[in-house]
Formats: sequence, C-alpha cells, structure tokens
Amino acid sequence: MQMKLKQLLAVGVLALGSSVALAGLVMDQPVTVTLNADGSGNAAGNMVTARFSKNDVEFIGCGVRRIDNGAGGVVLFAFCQAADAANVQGFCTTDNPNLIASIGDNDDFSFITFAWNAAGECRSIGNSTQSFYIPKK
Amino acid sequence: MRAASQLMKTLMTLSVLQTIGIGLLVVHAFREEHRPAPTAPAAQSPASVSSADGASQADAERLRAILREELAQEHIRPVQEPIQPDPVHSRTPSPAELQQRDVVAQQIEAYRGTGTITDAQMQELQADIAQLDAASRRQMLSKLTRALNTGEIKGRL
Repeated sequence: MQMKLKQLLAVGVLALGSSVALAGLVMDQPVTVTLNADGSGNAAGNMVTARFSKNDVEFIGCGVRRIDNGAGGVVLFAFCQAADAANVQGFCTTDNPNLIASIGDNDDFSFITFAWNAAGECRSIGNSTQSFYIPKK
Repeated sequence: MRAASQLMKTLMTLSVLQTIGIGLLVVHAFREEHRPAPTAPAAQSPASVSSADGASQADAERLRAILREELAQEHIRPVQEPIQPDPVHSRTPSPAELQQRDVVAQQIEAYRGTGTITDAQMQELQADIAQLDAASRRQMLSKLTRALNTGEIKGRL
C-alpha cells in the first residue's frame, strides 16, 4: 500500500514537472522610469509584471480623455504614466492624434514604453504584445 | 606599260569628278547659310526671333524688359515667405480665456502647495483644462505634467 502511494506521488511530481516545462517562455519586465535633468524622460515595463510585483507602487499604463468642452466640442488628449519599484514616477500628455491612436493598440498583456520632452509632452508611445508577457498559470 | 597608263587616266578622271563634287557641296552650303529665315511664329521664344524682322525684334525687347523687371522684383523679395501662423493655435486668447487659464494655473499652484492631488480632484482639474482654448490647454497640461514629473504634485493622471 505504501509502495503504491510512493509510486502515485512520483507520477504526480513528474506530471507537474512536465507541465511547468511546457509553459513556454515567460519574461518579467519590471517598470523602469528615467528622469532627465531637463525634465524629459522615459518609462517602460510590462503591465503584468507591474501588476503582480511584490510592492504596492509599481504601475504603468496609458489612457485617453474625451471631455465635453461645453462649447459643442469634445476635447481629446491622452496620457501615459508609470512608477517603478522605488516609486520614481513619470508622466506625459499629448493631443497628437497619431500618438493617441497608438494607445488603442495596448492590450492586457502589453509591454509599454513611452518618452516625453522637457515640457512633459509625449514624444513616443509604444507597445509590444507577446506571449511571454502573459503571466504563468 | 599600256595598262599603267590606262589606270593613271582613270584615277585622274575620278580626281576631277571628286573636286567638282566638293565644289558643288561648298556652294550649296554657302547658299543655305545666307538664306533669310522664315518669319517667327508668335509663340516662339525671343532668342529665336530673326534680327531682320523689326517687329519681332521690338517684341523681343519688350519681353527682355519684362524679364528684367520680374528678375529685379524677385531679387527684392525676401528669399523665404514668412510662415503663416496657424489661426487655431496661435491666435491671441481673449481676456475671458486668459482669465480662465489663470484660474486653472492657480489650481495647479494650489496642488503644488499641498503636494498631492486625489483622483477625483484630478478629474475635475482635467475637466477645467478641457474648457480652455487650445494653446492654454496645452500650456496647462504641460504645467501639470511637469509638476507630476518633478514630484511637486503626487498623484495620477
């Protein structure tokens, strides 16, 4: 009976081990924020890594605002923001339609990168959606 | 001996014929060169107008004068035309718009004073920024973003 139990345990361990081995490439990309002396900077990171990091400050993302301006028009602008594990924060805003459009490409498991100039205006917004950014089961 | 004499005779005849041919060609070429040119059509360029035609010469002179004038004006004109300002983005804001912008600027200054902005306050501030004219809006968004980047205001957009 005890022998049978050991055999079952061995099979179980093997089965678990093989499932881990077949999980595919997983890549953690913690958020990095670089602030330059002139006010410009850049940030990058994977949303999943930020969300499930061991601290409560790390985050990264972009958003769009459409606000009624009260004069028959809608004001459109977008922003990106991030904080690394040390809570160094970076922000940028833009009303450039092409940059705003790129935010629509962001996905749940995207790696996001953005950069800004001394005025805090976004100069680039990029993303990469890869299987290795999807969290482990 | 007789054959050589016959050959010499043939060569002499050919030489005379060649000389006559060359002479005829020279005369023909000379005549072609001195033939008067046909009257220039109206659309022809001044450079091709015959000097024999007085009216055409006058036209050519007028054209030259016009060209000289045009070139002189081109020389006086600045090399690059000044870029026309974008009426939407560079128009001077009205006093009411400036006042509205100042109110938003004061709000941002107030948040810099306290050092934090809540999510709800940020939403309100952004709604106020949206009411501004395009130039002021960009200016205030920049002011807010810089304050966030320097850490003078802690919060999120």
